[in-house]
Amino acid sequence: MKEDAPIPVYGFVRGDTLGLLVLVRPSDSIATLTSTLTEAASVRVAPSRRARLFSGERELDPRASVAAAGLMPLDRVDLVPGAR
Amino acid sequence: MLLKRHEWLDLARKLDWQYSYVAERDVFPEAMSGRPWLEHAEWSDWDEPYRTSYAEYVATQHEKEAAVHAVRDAVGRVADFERHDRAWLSALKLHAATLPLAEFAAVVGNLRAARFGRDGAWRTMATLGALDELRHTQIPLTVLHDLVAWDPQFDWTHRLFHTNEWVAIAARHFADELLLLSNPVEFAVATHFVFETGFTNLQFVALSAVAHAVGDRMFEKMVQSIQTDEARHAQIGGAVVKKVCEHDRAYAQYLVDKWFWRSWHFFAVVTGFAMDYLTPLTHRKSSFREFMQEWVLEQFERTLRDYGLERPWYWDEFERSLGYYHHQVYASAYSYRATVWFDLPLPSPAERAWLAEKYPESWADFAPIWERVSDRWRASGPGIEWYTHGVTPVGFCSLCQLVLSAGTPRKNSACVRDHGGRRYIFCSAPCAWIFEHEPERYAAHHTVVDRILAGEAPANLIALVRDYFGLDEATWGKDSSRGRYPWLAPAVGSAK
Repeated sequence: MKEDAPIPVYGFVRGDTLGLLVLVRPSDSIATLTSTLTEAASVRVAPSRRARLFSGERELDPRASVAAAGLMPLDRVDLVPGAR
Repeated sequence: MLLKRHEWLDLARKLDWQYSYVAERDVFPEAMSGRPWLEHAEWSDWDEPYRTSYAEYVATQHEKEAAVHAVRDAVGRVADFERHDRAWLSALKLHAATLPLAEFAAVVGNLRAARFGRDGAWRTMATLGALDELRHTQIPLTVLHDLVAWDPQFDWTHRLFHTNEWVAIAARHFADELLLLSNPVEFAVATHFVFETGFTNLQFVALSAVAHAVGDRMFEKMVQSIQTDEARHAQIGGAVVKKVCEHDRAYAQYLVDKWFWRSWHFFAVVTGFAMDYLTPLTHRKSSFREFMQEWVLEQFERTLRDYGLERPWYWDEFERSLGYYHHQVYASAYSYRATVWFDLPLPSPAERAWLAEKYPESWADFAPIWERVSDRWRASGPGIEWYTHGVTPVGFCSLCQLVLSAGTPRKNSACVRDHGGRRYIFCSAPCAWIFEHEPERYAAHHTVVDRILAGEAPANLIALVRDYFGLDEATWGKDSSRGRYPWLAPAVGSAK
């Protein structure tokens, strides 16, 4: 497998009705993943300019890379729209 | 001198004998007959209340067939269906596609019991049950076939189970295990006691009442006719549960817990959609939850008590999900409607007000979603389906194979588990619990996501819908009114 090949991650946006499968590169930032997930759910959930991303109870740093955040293929992340 | 009925009946319907050249365990091996394995002496008091002979069965069924055909001749033409609301036609398409071939699978389950059931009366009833299920396959296929030329979505009445469309994958995963794979004991508990006694028998009563209110005499007659069969052969369930409880109550409880949850999810999608979204508002009698509370919860809890069984361990979660699950799946399906074979209506403000009244504790979570979808329709204008349609692949439960739509919009209950070096995701704790009890039964199955990641199915949504699900522009689901709702006033400066 290529070193920076995209990995699939299950994303759940608070306020949405289902889980989505998004692809993200390990080198991408958490902010990019947040943006991808926000757009993916935007048919049902109005995008919020500020949002927080969680892996379990752990809030992910938007500046960190997906790899540095420790996300693995088919992990679950939760996006919470709203003010930080 | 002719014998009286009671003098010959048991010879015709409850005939067993002792084997002289083969062991009973070889005639009824546990792998085929199920557990607990008991000597026939333990089963010999097995009975059910209908006590029907074959001749009586044929006479009764002949009358019922004649009645269905008479109604079909009178009100089963295309012109009769053209009069119905488009949303109600979607309810028909949903039921019509999920019903007949599942019933055909139930023929197999009944026939296995007709051979490997442990008492002659059980085997006789299962034989009649197999004939019932064959009839339940043929009636909807016959009635709805005439509509295919008028509306190609009705072709999915027969086609659904032969495709890899996501509802079909979920339906097969459920029906294959329930109806094709189960031994007669599990089949009796799962199909007759839980699914039929607990859910569908009463569902058919409610659906025929809704169909009557809508003015759909054909559907009303069809489900009434099917229900009378279900009421009879479902009696197998209680008689088997009673015996399993006497010898292995924990196993009986496990089967009830497992199959109630599996049945609930499938039932919520098919009937929840029909009652709360696809029945025209003016004809709705009660909400899906009210129906569940009155017809399913109360009577099923009472039935469980009668047999000394407990409510399933997840009962609180189940009761909460009555206010959420089908709403979550419906909103998800609406925004991915091209992945199904029927059209979905956008709930109007009046319908949303009705839903808010019926679901006071949960509807506030769904109102913003429908506002958002409505705003996007206003922005795009009618006919622009893609602007209110998702494009990102969605996740599916590794157990029920349905979309990950359990829990609430505030907290989706999906959970990830690793097993045998592979990662699985479950929509809910009960689905994970079922998997973990029998991983050898479920672990090898691939969800739609697994198939995409393995390169078996395309990730691009249009390619997935066309090439893998087998839908095309004529058949894939659309908004029922193509976004042309009088109440959707166009926004100033729309996106067009």
